[in-house]
Amino acid sequence: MTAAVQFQSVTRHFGPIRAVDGVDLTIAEGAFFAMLGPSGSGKTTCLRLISGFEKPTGGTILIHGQDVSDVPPNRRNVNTVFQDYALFPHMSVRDNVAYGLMVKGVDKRARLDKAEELLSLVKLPSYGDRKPGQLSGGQRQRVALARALINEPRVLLLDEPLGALDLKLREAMQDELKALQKRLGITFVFVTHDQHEALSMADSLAVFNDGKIAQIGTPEDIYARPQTRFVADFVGSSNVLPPALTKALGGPAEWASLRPEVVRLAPSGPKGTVTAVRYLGSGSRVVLRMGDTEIAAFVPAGEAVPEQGTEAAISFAPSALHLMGQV
Amino acid sequence: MTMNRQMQRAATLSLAALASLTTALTPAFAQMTEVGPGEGALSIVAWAGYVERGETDKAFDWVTGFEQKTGCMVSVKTANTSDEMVALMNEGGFDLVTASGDASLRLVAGGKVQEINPALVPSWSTIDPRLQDAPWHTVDGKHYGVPYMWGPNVLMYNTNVFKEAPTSWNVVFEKMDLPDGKTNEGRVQAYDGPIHIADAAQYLMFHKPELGITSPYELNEDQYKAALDLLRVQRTLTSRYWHDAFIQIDDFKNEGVVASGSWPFQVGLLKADNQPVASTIPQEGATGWADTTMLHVDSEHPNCAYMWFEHQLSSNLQADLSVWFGAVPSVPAACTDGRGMQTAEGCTANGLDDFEKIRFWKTPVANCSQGEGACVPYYRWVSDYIGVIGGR
Amino acid sequence: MTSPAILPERGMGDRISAAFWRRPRLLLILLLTPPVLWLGIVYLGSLAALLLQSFYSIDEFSGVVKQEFTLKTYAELFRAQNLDIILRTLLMAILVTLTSAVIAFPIAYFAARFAKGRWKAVFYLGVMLPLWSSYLVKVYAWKLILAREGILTWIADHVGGGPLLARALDEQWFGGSSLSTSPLGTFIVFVYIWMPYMILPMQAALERVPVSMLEASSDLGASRAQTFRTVVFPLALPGIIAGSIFTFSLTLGDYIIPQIIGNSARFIGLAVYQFQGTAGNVPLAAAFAMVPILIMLVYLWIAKRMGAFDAL
Repeated sequence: MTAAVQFQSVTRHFGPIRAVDGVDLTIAEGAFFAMLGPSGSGKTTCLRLISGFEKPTGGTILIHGQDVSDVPPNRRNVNTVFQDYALFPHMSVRDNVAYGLMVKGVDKRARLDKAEELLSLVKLPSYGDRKPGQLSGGQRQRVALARALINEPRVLLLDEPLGALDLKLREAMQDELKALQKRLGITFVFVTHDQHEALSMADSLAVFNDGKIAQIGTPEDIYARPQTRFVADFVGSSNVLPPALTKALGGPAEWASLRPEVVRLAPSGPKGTVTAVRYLGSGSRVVLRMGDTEIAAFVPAGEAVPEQGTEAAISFAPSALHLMGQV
Repeated sequence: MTMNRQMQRAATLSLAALASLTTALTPAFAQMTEVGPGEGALSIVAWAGYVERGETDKAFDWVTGFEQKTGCMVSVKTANTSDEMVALMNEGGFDLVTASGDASLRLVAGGKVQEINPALVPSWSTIDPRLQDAPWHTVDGKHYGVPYMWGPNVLMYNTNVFKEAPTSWNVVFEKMDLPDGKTNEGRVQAYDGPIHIADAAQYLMFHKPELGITSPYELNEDQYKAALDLLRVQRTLTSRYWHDAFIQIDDFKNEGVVASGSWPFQVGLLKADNQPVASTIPQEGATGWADTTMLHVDSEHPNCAYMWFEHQLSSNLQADLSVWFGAVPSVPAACTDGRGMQTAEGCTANGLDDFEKIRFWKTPVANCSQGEGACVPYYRWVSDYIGVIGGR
Repeated sequence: MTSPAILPERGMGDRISAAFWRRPRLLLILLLTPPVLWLGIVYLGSLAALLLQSFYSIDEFSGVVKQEFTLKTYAELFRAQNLDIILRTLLMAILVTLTSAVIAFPIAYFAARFAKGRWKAVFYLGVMLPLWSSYLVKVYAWKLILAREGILTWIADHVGGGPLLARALDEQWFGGSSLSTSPLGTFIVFVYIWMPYMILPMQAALERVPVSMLEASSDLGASRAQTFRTVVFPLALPGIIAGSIFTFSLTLGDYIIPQIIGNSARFIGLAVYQFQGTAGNVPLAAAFAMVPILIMLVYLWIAKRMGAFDAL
């Protein structure tokens, strides 16, 4: 199986700013790949390098094994769903969807038929005559999706596709996108700053920080085994322990991550002051201050929850400590 | 018509304004019988350069003395064409206008100017007798103004191109090579006013006697058509028509214009600027202007106006203005009696002896010496001249 | 110590804003009344007076207006020489507008897309600067630039463009003895003088087209030309129409430029100026003045039909 997209030491500088700084990356064909990171981390620039809206300052980008460094966006068999959808306001929904075929010179009948087909695929079969301004956010999102799919791209790029939707719609769309990707069997590359979205949708993901890839792997890898403090911090609501604290809690003197759900309150053990209590439904999340660090623990429903300001002790299985090295 | 408008106005005025109403109405009925004290102000519609108070050139000032003597403060509205003067007087709000012959009769017919009483102008008798009863301000024996100044429309030419003065207006009417061997196309100008049709008619009077033109201002259909045809030829030669004296001056300097009908005023200014120009009155003669100061029917300062009438005849105005504008005084004595800068030679140079050669501007009317309705009236001159300039 | 539920009133200002809060329409009425009065009385009133005048006629000898209803004055518009004036002006306005649009577009596009920060300021300054100096001064300056002995002819002669210029000036329709006395010169000056009015609305319209839309078009396979035709142009159209309304109507109404630059052939504005000012024929001037208004109404109607206002 060839790679759908490959980055070889790709850099992109904007003046003094290194937006993308030596990225090596392989995205497998047919994958649902997420690029996760805070804003300014370089993930969107990477996406734009694939679509061709940015040219790399250095390095090589391959799409299905072909060097595209010199190929303009309109000749790349890659399509994009934009963050703001970028629907053409002066065209009907149908003409928007058919646009990719129109500029290729496909005759009117054929392209409008195909557009209808895609509108059905995204569950908007009777919306063709409307203008984008008459649609809700979710509907626009689907139109943008249909428009990007009409050229049957081998790679579909999605730039924060769900960012503008409310929570409930977002979750529904997550499932739908996932199902659609399975059904079409094409590579999806999507950019997000929402770790839950990335973890729940992607087959594999890359976490970006400061123009570089901090970690790449399956959601399980990233969540359970962060390789750096940044990943641990950014991806989960994981506890990050400095070496001294790790040692005090019975581990080696290394940075470590510790997932809150494995930390329980105990009658004895390392003690801290309770600074916050939050009720989650399935239990409560209790935050304790230990020295300079805050540690979150999980109290299952039915167990006693300590008062804020009191002292409490914690316990966990030593194997739950995930070590990340000295720095 | 005039009565009607004033009645309307009267109806809208309140009783309290009755006093001012009567003064507004009075002048319309009869000429003045005596000159009272001045009202302190006087507004004049005049040609550019006609009413100077020493601001353009310190030496030329015939307003300051008048203001000091009478207390009538003079304000001037400059007009570029006769049509503009008529329009301004129709609008109202002015006391006097220095109307040329192609405007004066229209003003009389429109009821915009009032009859004046020569007995109230002590120097009336010093006016050139040829002007005293001139038809452009005298209707049915009644005088509607006081002669101001007159002069010819000269042919101005570039002395580098013409080593000798051109003897005919043909240089601006017919396509030809000028003495420098180059064509006159694009190098001549003409006046941007319908009255210029008369210049063409005068040219035809000399060169096509078979047309039987007796006056360039009284043209029957055939004569008129011949004049327009001549002007259509002129259109092909003329790069731009002039109506603003200063644009013409600029065109002689920067546009390569070498010949045009003009006023002594422009000739004087260009000469003063050391430009190679001179002027002449060719064999066909010339049209000319004879301007008359006329008093608006609703003038609010009639006493000041009468004082100005006397001033324009008796002061340094006649002499100095004739030097300044390159014109001829309406009071011949001003050429010789030393009241101003003018001399006998100067008057001769400006055309004093050419009076007979000059056919003065007057408004063309339908009922002319050729018969009732035989002549083409002025309004057609206006629209047809626009057509000719538009290339039609 | 608890604070009160209702805060004390701090004087007149609070009372007035409370009144407006209770009756929001009051503020609207107060804000709208002066401009509506202005528009209604001063503008529409004078327009109505103009319309009324155009149905009067003039006594052809004395030049006094006869206040009786007649269509004679409108019939005069159809005299050949007056029709010439209308068509000449219309043609000039169309050419000036098209040329302005073509020249303004790249400038506006550059300013909207690429000029940032200081360059944007330079752009605004460059476009607006000519608007700060007197219009008349600019036109007289152009008279000198375009004069036969002016700098443009001089440059043309020195870069070998002399024959080309001479050929253009030989052209019967727009030529003359020099640029300053030819319709070509009138056209050049019109384009120059009205250009800012085309650039600014165009730039504003182009600035409102999101970059992502151009990217989407290119992403879907459109060439630059296709993107321009199907996305940029339709979205910029309201700005282009707005600009063209300026250049078109300003050209229709101008009376200064053809008076100073050109071959003395009349334009509508100049005809209005002459008829009402120098010839005192206010009815014919009024009838002439109605022509651009009618043309503009037709123009806006066509623009609407073309969908120029759909994207508003």
